[in-house]
Amino acid sequence: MLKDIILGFHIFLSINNIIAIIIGMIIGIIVGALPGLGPSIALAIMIPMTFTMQPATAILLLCAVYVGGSYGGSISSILINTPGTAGAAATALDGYPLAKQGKAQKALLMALYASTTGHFIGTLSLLLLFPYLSMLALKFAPPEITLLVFLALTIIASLSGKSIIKGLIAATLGMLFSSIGLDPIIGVRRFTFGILGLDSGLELVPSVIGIFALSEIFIQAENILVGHAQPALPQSNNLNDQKLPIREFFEHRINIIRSSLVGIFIGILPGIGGSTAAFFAYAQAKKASKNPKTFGEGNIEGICAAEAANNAVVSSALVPLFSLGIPGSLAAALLLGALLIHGLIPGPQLFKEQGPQMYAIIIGLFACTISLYLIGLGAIKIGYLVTRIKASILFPIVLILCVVGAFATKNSMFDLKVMFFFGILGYLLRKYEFPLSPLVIAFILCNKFEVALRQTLIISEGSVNIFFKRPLCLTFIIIGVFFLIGIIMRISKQRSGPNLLAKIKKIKIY
Amino acid sequence: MKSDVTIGILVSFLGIMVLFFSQRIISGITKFDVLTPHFFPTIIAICLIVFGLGLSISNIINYYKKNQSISNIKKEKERVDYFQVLKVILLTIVYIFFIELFGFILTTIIVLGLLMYLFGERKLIDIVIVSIVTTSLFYYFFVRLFNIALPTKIFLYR
Repeated sequence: MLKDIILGFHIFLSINNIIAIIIGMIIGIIVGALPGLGPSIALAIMIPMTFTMQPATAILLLCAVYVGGSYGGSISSILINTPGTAGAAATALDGYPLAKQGKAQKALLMALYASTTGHFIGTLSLLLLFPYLSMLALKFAPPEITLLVFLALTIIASLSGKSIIKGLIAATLGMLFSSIGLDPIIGVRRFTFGILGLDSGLELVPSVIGIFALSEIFIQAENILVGHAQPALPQSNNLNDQKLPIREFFEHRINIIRSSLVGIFIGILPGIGGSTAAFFAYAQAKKASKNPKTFGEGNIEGICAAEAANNAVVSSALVPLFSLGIPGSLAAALLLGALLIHGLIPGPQLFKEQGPQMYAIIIGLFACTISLYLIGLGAIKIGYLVTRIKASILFPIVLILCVVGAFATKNSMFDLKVMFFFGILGYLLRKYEFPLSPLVIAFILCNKFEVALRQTLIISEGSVNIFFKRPLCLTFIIIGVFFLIGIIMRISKQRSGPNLLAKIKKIKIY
Repeated sequence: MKSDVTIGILVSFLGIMVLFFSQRIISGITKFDVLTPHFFPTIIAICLIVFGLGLSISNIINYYKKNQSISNIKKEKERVDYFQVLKVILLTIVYIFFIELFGFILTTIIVLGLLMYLFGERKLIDIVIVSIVTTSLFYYFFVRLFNIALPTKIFLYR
């Protein structure tokens, strides 16, 4: 392990990697701060641009975009009350009231410090947990993989939207699109309807660009306001409101560590992502606070909790991705696609075969912490300018980027049609409040699931008893049962009354 | 919600279609059912039918329950300009279609300008400058710097 870490450090210390992290971070923060765009869209568009890069450089660039994007959302949350990312919605609850009191600078600094700390703690969890989980994953045979992916898909489908059944439908649609093309075991064509372009299945990058980025442009087209401008924020004359002394930051250390741990826990769970972690940590901070009543009216503890958790998710979501091949968040799912494109196949073998490359990426994630802090300080100064980029320039350019990105995957015009189809589908699904992440994650994981399921049933000659005879499988089943109880409790809670999430309906979330 | 009932029915109908087409997939000679290529699509089809019906039925039940307890709740209607969306969708189709005929540069300059207009930009000089500069920058970055191919022409240069 130590040898791999040293080799990883050697791989990381290349000027290309450092430039990739800086550029990725700048792009990530800008895209994150732009209302309507977020790390997922940025990653989908950026993946084709990394095709000609070295694997470690490409993944580091994308990781930096992901890290920067997760933080960047807080800038627009605080300054204009429109979270650039869903994960930053909790930040807006207290961030915007603070900005209205003239304390925007203080709120932005706290968001940056909490994000940096959260990201550092999250990356530490990745470094410590990834090798051990990989060793455990080496014991996985097809039955364990089947149950693990099934459990992951169920968790994603149940927790990512307002309605569980809509989440399940979205996941099933993802599985349907994944089954188009050649059958993974026998190689027979399925649902190709004689279209040659469908023989190799639907390409991931054009599909994801369509479903996230293109559909977002269609959504934005609904509410075009000519000459719309944000009201100017007041500036406080008190110098203390413009600064955040380190002493004041340390007063919130317990809150930040607790929120980071919440972020790590939720990040490791498959597919849930930053927004759930941020709201969960926010609720915990409110519970533990001496002034819970001021939450939502401009309490800096709220920003601390939300941002630390939101950014701790970034690296911890990579733990199941690297070790098991199961993404811990939507952006991690896109990174999974990028890893595959660059020949790094996530799963237990990744650690064994590509140890130095993976450690180079983890070291790069630590470097992202420093980069996030330094570039973040600069972003605070010019953040307001970024949030004021006109929609009339931004979204047309994003549409062109979508087309370029989708085409670049295979230089195929057919992929542009695939992107367009998914753009329309994504638009309709958003309109009818279907969550998109279960669809994308099921689309990516389904092939693995189908192969594992069919291999299991071939081994057992068609009997499902095999799942109950293996200790690890039984563990997954028990976790599944507990989770099912959790879902039932969630439904009954939803019916019993309003919760914290109801409050965010007041904020325009993209 | 009324629309959810309809969507549930549509999803179930999609499931039936998937079931129908999955049975038409060539099976080949296999020892077990699980080896057949339509094994997995059949599971997907059944899930779609069940979840679709579940969505419809749960919404019908909720609708009647709400009617009994709370009535006359008027929802705030968002002001949505669907005609604008349709225009952007049509322009995307036109872009995808013409990019093959006229190449990246010419098509992008025109479409970008039109899109900016659709998204509310009214200053002609801004439209012209942004569309020409952005297209040139994209061409330079992708083709020259990243070695990424862009759609090339049939009729005109690039």
